[in-house]
This record gives sequence, C-alpha cells and structure tokens, in this order.
Amino acid sequence: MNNKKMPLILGGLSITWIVVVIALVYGSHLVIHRFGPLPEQPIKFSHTVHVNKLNLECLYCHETAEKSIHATIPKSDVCFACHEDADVDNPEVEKLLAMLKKKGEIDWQRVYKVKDHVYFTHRVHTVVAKLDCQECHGPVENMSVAIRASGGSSDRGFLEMGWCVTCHKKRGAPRECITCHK
Amino acid sequence: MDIIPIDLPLDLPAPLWFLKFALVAFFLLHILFINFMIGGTVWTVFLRMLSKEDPFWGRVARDIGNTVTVNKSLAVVLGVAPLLAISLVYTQFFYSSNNITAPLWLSIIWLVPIAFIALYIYKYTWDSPTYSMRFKYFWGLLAVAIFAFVPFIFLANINLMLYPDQWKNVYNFWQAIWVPNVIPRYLHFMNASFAISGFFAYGYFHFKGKNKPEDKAYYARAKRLGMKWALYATTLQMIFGVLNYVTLPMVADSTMVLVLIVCSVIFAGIVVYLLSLNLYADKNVHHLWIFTAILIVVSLMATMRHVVRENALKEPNKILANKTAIYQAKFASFMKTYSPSGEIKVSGVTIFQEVCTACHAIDKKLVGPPMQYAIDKYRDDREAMITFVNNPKKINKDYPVMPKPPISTAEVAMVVDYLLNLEVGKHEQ
Repeated sequence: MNNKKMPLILGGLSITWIVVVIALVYGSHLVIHRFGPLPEQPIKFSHTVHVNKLNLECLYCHETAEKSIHATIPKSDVCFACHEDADVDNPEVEKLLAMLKKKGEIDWQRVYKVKDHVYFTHRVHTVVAKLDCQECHGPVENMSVAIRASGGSSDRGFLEMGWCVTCHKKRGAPRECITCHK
Repeated sequence: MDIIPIDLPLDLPAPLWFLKFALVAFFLLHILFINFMIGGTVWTVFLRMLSKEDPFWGRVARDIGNTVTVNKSLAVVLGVAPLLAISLVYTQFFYSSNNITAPLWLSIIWLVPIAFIALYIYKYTWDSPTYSMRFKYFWGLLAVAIFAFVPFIFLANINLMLYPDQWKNVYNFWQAIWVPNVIPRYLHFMNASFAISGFFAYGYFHFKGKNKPEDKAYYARAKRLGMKWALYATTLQMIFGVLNYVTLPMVADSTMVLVLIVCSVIFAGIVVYLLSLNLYADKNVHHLWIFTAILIVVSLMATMRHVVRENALKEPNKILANKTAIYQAKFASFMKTYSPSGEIKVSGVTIFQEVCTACHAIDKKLVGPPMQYAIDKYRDDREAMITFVNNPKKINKDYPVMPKPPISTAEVAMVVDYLLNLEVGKHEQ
C-alpha cells in the first residue's frame, strides 16, 4: 500500500471508530432512558413530614390499599381537610389550595405502575400476604420526594416481572401465569 | 432502601470536596498500577508459552515479569488512600455492601498474598533447572487466576454499595455479581488492563531501550508489541465500553456521564490514530502525545465513574439524611426524659407542645378543634378522653379524623391530666 496514503486511511478509520462508538454510546443513553424522565409532581409533597412528623399512617391517605386492587392516590378533600387551616403559609400548601380552587383535583403523577396486561391487587398483598407497604415501596416515611425504591432498576415507571417473580419465589406465592395475567 | 444505616454525627477530618478529590485521584493511580499488574501477569505467563517458537517471547515475558512484582506493591500502597477515603465519604453504603459480601470480601486478605507469593515463586524460579516447567507455570497461572477473580470481588462490592434498593435481595457475593452492571464492568476493566499494560510495556521498553543501543532490535520489537496490545485492546473497548454503558442502571446515568464518555471516546480515538500511525504508517509520533492522550482518557473515565456514583447515591443520601435527622430528634427527645435514676422528667405540657400543637391550639381551631372544646367535653370523664386519644375516630364532620399520636398510653394520660387541669386563660403555650 502507498505509504503516503496510509496516514489518511488510518485517520479515516479512526474517525469512523470515534463516530461509531459515539453513536453506540448515545444509543445506549437513549436505551437507558427509554421511558422518559421520572414524573415531576405538581406539588412537592413530603412523605417524611406527613408520616414521621405527623404520624399519619399509609392508610390515612391511601385508603383503599386494604380493600381493592388499587391503593389510590388521595383525593383533594383528604389534603384539604387539614390544609384548609394547617401550614397555610407554606408555599407548597399555597400552591395546593390554589390548584384545588382552580381545578378541584391535583394532577398527581403515578410513581409505581404495572403494564395493562398485568393484574396486580393491593388487597391480596396487604391483607392476605400481610406485607408492609415498605416491602415494595421502600422507606416512604423517609422520602421527601416519592421515588421508586424497587421494582427493577432498568424499567422506568413499570414494575418488572422479574422483580415480582423473585419475591413470589422467595415467599412461596403462586407463580402460575394466570395469577397475574388474567 | 429502608436498611440504609443512619449517619454518624462526627465531623469529617477534611472538607468533603477534598476527600472526594483524593478518592478519585488516588483511585486512578491505584487502578493504573492494578492494570499494569494484571495485564503484566497475563503476558508474563502466556508469552512465555510461545518462547519455544521464538526466544523473543520468553525474553519479553521475563522482562515484564520483573516489573509486575514492583507494580503490584505500588498498586497495593496506592490503594490505601482511596479505601480510607471511600470509607469516610460513603460510610453507610460501603459498610453495608461490605457486610453483605463479607466472606468473599475478606477473602482478599488471603487471596492476594497467595497471588503475590505465587508471582515471586514464578519469577525467582525462572532459570532454575530444579523445577519443572509445569511447576513454574502452575504458580504463574495461579497468580493469573487469583488476579482475574479478585477484581470481581471488588467490583461486586463497589457496585452493590450504589444500589441500596438491591440490598434486601442480595445475601452474598454470588448474588451480588448479578446486580447490574457488575459483569459488563468486569469485562470492561479486564480489557482495560490489557490496554493499559500495553501502554506500560510501550513506555517501559522505550525507556529501557534508550540505555541499551546494542540491543536496539529487541527493544524496538518489544516496544511495538506494547503498542499493539494498547491499540487492539483500546479498539476493543468499543464493545466492552458500550456494553458497560448500555447496562448501567438508569439512576446512575445523567447527561454529564454521557458528555464525559463522549469526550473520552474522542481522545481514545486520537490514541488509536496515533498508535496506528506509529505501527502501520512508519511514523514516529512522539510518545508524549500518546501518553498525554491516554492520560486524558483515563482521567475522564475516573471522573465519569465518580459522577455515576454520585448519581446513584443521590436519593439514598437524601433518605439517609432524613433518617438521621429523625433519629437525632428522637434521641434528643429521649434525652429530655432520661436521668441516671431512671426518673422520667417529661411533663404533660412538654408532650403536648412537642406532639399535639402541630394540629391543636388551646383556644382556636387549627387542623383539629381547640383543646378548650375537648376540655369542656371530657372535664368529668378523664378515662373517655384517654380512650379517644389512644384510638381516635372521626366523630365530628367539621374536622378530619385524628391520627393516633406517637406516644404511649402513660404519656397520653399525662397530656390529658395537663389539659383537664388547665386554668382557663393561664395555659402555657
């Protein structure tokens, strides 16, 4: 091969290598974040204040966790019951009251969710399996911002099947497909 | 993540930024020498196997082997500072992962000395006719095997500390290695060991050859060999590096990580180009350019590694701070009740002020009704008031249901006694 051309060829190959690797790296970045950023809540609600300081239990707000498939995010009247008068100088409470006046409800963003083809019931897990809320949701009482503490580490937003199956296996819970995919 | 231990209320011996900087800088130096050690051990054993075909390989294997015993000492010594720094800066996380992987983590204590002794036996029996080749290769391969395994132990531990949400699912090292992304990190690291030891060989034979002009051919060939290792392994990082990144847990990633990786790739590409010019275009690019470029690459990588750690521990650190604040508040509250004689000094008024005033005032409505309402209602029925406070129910549509206060029945009784004995207009609040 012509030695004069060799530096050009090697330069071209090196640039190609750089471009290909950067493309792969950027693609990896997109794969990591394929489900988008963590949901931003409309109000900076702190579980640690409400649970640790005020000693509210989980069921105080998430009333249906022991009764239905959903734990539910509390409706505005739950917040309003206390915050009509409590801590009204707090900017987040001011925001809360303004939102309630304008819209009636707060547009909370779900932190934990399952895909449409999955049947998950809170009642069975809390009442039958007698799991503490923290077992799946982590130390919520210590969170100033609700984050997903478990459920698999790579799937943003949706709980991973592998994570569920691991716990079912550990506890001897049913693992037939129809248990969760009705 | 509820098993993150609380923080220790002790001042750090140096500013946090300094400890983190020392951690990153010294770890970089440490890991470079670890790379020299691991790569060098592999080359000194496997290249020797080729010496029957060409004595050049045997000579290179021996020369590299002579450096490994020095590099390993420097690697160990340089590892002390980052180990101490990480224990100071990330105590709760590092301690926890150490505990989970304890048996294998502590096995480093005996595995590494065995590897070092094996290396010395391999090195000092090199020319001895007393020992068979099988004997010599046994010790060399033992060192290789241990050096291939020990980074796995370190990586499993260091990785596990970043993901407290995994601690409840992991009971030992063998489970820790399956936590993302230990295995891709390990492959990336091992390939880097070959690359970095290639750069070491390049530099070593370059400078050794300067003083031995009579052996110019050997040192030139050995130097080219080092450059080839460096080039091929660096090029291969496009597979191992990308695999490492794509398997990175989401919480550890950020735009800064992406930017640092892209900058590293650009400089790595420059290294690939410069090495290629020397090897395949008969150019004589000065080693200073190549070493500067690779130094920039490894520095960017070391920084990126730290950013990954900070990202992953961002939320756990908040939980840690919250847990610690709650513990310290409870402890302070306990200390108000503690005396050497065991006498409880707390009074009903103290408990009322600390626990109840978030929602109740004596003479006005807050979240709950004014206490004057309760005093009037239960003035002649102390027990009913104690029963209600211990087990509140929704009885008044104008107020939300009262949560059960976090105090004992005895403390409830003290608060009730305080309230029922209050003189109107003379309450302490």
